[in-house]
Amino acid sequence: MRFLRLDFRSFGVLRDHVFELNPGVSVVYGPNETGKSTFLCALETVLFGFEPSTRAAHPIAVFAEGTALHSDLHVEAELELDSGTVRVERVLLQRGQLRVVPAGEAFTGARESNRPLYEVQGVTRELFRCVYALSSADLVELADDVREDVDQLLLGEHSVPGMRPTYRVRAELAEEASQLWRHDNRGKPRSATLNAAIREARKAVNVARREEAALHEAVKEKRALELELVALRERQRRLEREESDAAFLAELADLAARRAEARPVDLALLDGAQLVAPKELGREIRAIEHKLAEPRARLARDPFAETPAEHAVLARASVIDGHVRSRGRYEADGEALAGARERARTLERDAAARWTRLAGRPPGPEDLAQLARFPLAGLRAAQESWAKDWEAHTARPTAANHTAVPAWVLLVGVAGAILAALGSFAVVHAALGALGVLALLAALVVALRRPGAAAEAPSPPERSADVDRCLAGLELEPALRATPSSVLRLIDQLEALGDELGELSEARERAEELAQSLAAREEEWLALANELAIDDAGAGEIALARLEDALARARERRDEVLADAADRTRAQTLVDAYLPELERHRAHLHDLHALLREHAPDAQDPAAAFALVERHLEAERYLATRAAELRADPRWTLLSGDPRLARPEADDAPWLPARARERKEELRAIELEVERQHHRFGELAERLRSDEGSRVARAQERQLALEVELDELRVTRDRVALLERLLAEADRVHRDENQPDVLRRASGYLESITAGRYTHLDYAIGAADGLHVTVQGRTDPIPVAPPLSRGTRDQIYLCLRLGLLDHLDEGRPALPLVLDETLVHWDAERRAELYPLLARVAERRQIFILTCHENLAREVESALAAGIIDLGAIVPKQQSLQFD
Amino acid sequence: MTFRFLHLADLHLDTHFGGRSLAKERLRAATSEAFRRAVDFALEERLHAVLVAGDLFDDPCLSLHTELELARAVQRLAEAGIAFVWTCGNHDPGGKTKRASGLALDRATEDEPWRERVRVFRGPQPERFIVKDASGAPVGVVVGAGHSTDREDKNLAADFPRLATDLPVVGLLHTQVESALSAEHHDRFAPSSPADFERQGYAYWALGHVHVRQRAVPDLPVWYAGNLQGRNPRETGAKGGLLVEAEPGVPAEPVFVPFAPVRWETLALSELEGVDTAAALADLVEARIAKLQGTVDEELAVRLELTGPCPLAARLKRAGELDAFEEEAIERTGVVEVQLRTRGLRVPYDLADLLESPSVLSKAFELAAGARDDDRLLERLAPAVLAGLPADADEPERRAYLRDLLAGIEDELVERCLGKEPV
Repeated sequence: MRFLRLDFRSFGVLRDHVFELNPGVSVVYGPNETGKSTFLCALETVLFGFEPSTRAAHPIAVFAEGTALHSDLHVEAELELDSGTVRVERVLLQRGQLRVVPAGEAFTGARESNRPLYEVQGVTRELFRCVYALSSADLVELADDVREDVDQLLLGEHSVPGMRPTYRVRAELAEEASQLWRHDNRGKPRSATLNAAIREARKAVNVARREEAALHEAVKEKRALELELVALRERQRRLEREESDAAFLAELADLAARRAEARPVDLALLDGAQLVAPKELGREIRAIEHKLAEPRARLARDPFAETPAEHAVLARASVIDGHVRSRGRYEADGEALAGARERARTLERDAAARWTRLAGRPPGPEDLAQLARFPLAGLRAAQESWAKDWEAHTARPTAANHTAVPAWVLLVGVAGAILAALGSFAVVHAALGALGVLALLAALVVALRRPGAAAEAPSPPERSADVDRCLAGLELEPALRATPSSVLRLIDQLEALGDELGELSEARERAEELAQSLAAREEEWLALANELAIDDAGAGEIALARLEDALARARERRDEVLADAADRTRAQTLVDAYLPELERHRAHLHDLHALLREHAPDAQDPAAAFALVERHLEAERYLATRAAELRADPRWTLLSGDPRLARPEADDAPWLPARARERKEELRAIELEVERQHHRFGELAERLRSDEGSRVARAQERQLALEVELDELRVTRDRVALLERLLAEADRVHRDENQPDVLRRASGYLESITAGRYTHLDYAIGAADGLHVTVQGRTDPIPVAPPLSRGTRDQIYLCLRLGLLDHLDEGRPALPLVLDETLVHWDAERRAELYPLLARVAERRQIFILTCHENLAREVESALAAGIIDLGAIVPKQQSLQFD
Repeated sequence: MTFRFLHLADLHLDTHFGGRSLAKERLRAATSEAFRRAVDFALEERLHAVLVAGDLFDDPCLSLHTELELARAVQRLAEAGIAFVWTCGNHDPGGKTKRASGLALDRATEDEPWRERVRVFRGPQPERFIVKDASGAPVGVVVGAGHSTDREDKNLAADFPRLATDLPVVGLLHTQVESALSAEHHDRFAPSSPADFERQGYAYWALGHVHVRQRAVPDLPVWYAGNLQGRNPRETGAKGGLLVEAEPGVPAEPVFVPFAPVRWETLALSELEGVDTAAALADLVEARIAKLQGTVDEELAVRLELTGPCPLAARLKRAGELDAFEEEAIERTGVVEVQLRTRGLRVPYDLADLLESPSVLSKAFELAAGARDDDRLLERLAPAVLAGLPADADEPERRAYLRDLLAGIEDELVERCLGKEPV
């Protein structure tokens, strides 16, 4: 296919202009902005139609809007095809339209849609732009949207159904490998990120180690704090103790100071005596002398004495006092005598009356004597016997058994009589005498109350012989013996009478005894009075009164003598008592004067000296009292020996105010420090408590995980890279064995234009090794990339394109080749090498060379006999358009 | 007299773990918990001693928290009359400037007499320590030597003396017995050979370093207790200590006592051609883990090795997808950790079909196969710069590395060339 003619009716800056074109090589020359791109666009439009296909979107049409240019685009071309020459009309009204007619015919009929010509089928517009219409940049790099198609052509056919293009897999692998790892770290591969993370992780491990070390330090610090706190507490306690001791130490210091100033008084000079004022001592001496005056006078007088008569009386005083004391008994005995006599008379009368009642006559002397001998017990026995008999006959008991008087009754009676007799004569005590009387009376009563031998009751009951026998000597009323009961009553009467007679006898005996006793006493009194030559002694009680008087007088005299002796003794005692005291006081006064002279030699008088000494002593006493008080304080034991007391002048003495202030400040500082340390201690304890441990292990885990990931990543990268290399090698070998047509043609072109220096082109998809060329004499292909020169690369790429065009155009008309400033980087030598090739190519396809370089245009014109289209001469510059 | 003690080793306190945050924290806690269980066991059983054969902690920077916990545990033992004997390993070397020296567990003071029952072997020269029971009567002798540095290369076992005593003698050492199972996974520190343990006639050798519990020397009472808590998917199975009752002159046979609260296990999943949805795979994984859970007492951490052709292969090999799937599995099963290994997984394809006609792919297969044997071809295929190989690597290392990279590369080729176009 060759363009023979281009008729720009209206196409941007090119309008109403017809270009007759060289069928071989045409050079379109013109400065920038003179329509070279518009020319190229027209070529493309003729072949493929308008792109975009609407006027509203087409850039040239849009540019023309609002200008003098026509916004409808219209271009016509005359093309030489294998089948003949045709005319092609492309018009863009609202939409692009096409009419194709044989050469020489007018365009008639309806226009077709904006379709490509049938002759370009199999070649896309994009492919045409990149492969057929080459700019300088396009020569090396293919546009992405056609690259795949081109690569497919370069790589050959796949034989595995569904297999992805090898170049794409390789590209993925290469991309993946470079994303994973690059030795230069360009493009921030994952390995670089991981390395950075590992560095951070290592830092974290170090930080963890430091933190762990810090924890150990915290433990040490905590222990040190504990010790420091203990020390602070100790210091605080010491200061507080000093604070509390300060007052007492001040007292002790004061005491010590006073002691140092004290003037001790040597009281030993007083020889144990107390210190008193001399005036007082003189007064006491005088008082003692006054007290001694009277005793001394008493002792100077004669003592009192008794007369011999008084002495004799006093010698028998106890006897006299005994007699005087027995006066009461004497008087009682007198009264008892009168009573006994009266009692005897009464009993005698009663006995006589009872007898008269029994015998019917007054008793004679014999009666009473007989009665005293009457066997009352025999009568009682006889009566009882009779009574039994009587009862036996009358069925009534009549009498009780009577027993004889027991011996002990007789013994009591006799003893009582003896005692009564002795008592009456005052041989024994009167009480014993009275007891004897009572015993006698009791014995009599018992004896008299004892039933006698049973009287012989008359048998049968009218009489009792035994009774009669018992009563034989008594002249009694007969009725008294008529029955056992009457006899029993008689017995009772006789018993009572016997008792009365016994009492009478005792009364008489008692009266006799008392009378004898009284007489004996009176005689004794009289004899004593005579012995003591008491005048007018008299009888009876008078003698006793005289004795009593004499004794009283003698006693009065003795009392006087004794009182006098006592007075003398007392006086002597006083003298004995006061005299040593007086001597002592005098000696004391002497010693006192000596002491005063010793301790107050400069005193004007003893009183002044004494006052001075007394002040010294007062001070001493105060010190002693104060010391005692302080000793009583429990702190004395602890503090009395405090070494600080030994240097009271020291500045740090605890009791000094300055020291107290210092101490207070230090205590406050300690409290603050303790608080601060407590706070710190709490922080440390909390920190240690909250420590979960294994910090380094955790950090190492992070590092390890990253390192493992990096190791795996490296291995993965190597594996991916190896995979890519394997695939690349497989692809290369496979292509070597099944080389694509494109490369074969391109290799031929290359060998041609380089005169055999480069022999073989090879192609693979990859980041680093796409197109390779084999240099003559070398086995390993070298990549078509720097350091291979740009010119050589352009040669290679041009050959590749030519091979590609040949391949694409296989079996149909060859499409034109457009070289848009492609040769601009070529030096003259290489261009010279190129022209023959282009001449050869031009034999098969039309070539358009677009350039702004006039020299190049002229060179091509002459080298290839090319036609020149000078756009600069046709299109004014200000009307030009630019298209990319 | 029977010397009763617990043989522990490789506690690796304060170790750092890989995996998810929660799993790491659980494993860290499990390590401490396992140690606490061991101490409680010793106290309950009224043992005479607890012997730690090195690597008590993992890193020189033992945290204060762990240090205090350790000291408390040791104090509990010692105050109960139980000796704590620890020999230093490569992770806890006992040199003067090392961390183990700073831990003065065995420095007895008047205030802390319990420390007399603690002994640390810090240096390479063998020392002996007489273990006494609570009443003070000697019950056994422990002979130990420690690593003074973290790269002890001397054979320490060879210097252990033969002792003339009526008491049972126990050797305590952190060493790599070269013939031991899994020894190749551990650095070659204080290396020893089976012959080094023959002449002493000890009743028992308590060893540490190799984390697999085992009799280290056939026919001799030389034992690795294994580590106390599995730390990674390679350390599978129950972990704990060995209870030993040693008699004088009689080789002791230890009894394993589990202490680790978390147990690592590995499951192999193959025949996944029919598993074409994530839900189906999740169900399969859940069922397999549930079945495993029914057979163990411990909490589980599971590694799943997925192999063979699977329609999900390409998807599962993407990092984000894999993480999400692992999270899903953890949520479903409640285990501590799930790790999927998909390297053995491949997209389903018919190799014969691929190789039937010449293509880039068949050529690549051909080249990969050839490169495995052909060094020149391997070098031709190698990337100019390798990221994962040290700069000072020699040729054999480089080739080995490259051949490692080639492993399974055909599957990846297929995935990439036949897979879907990325969006």
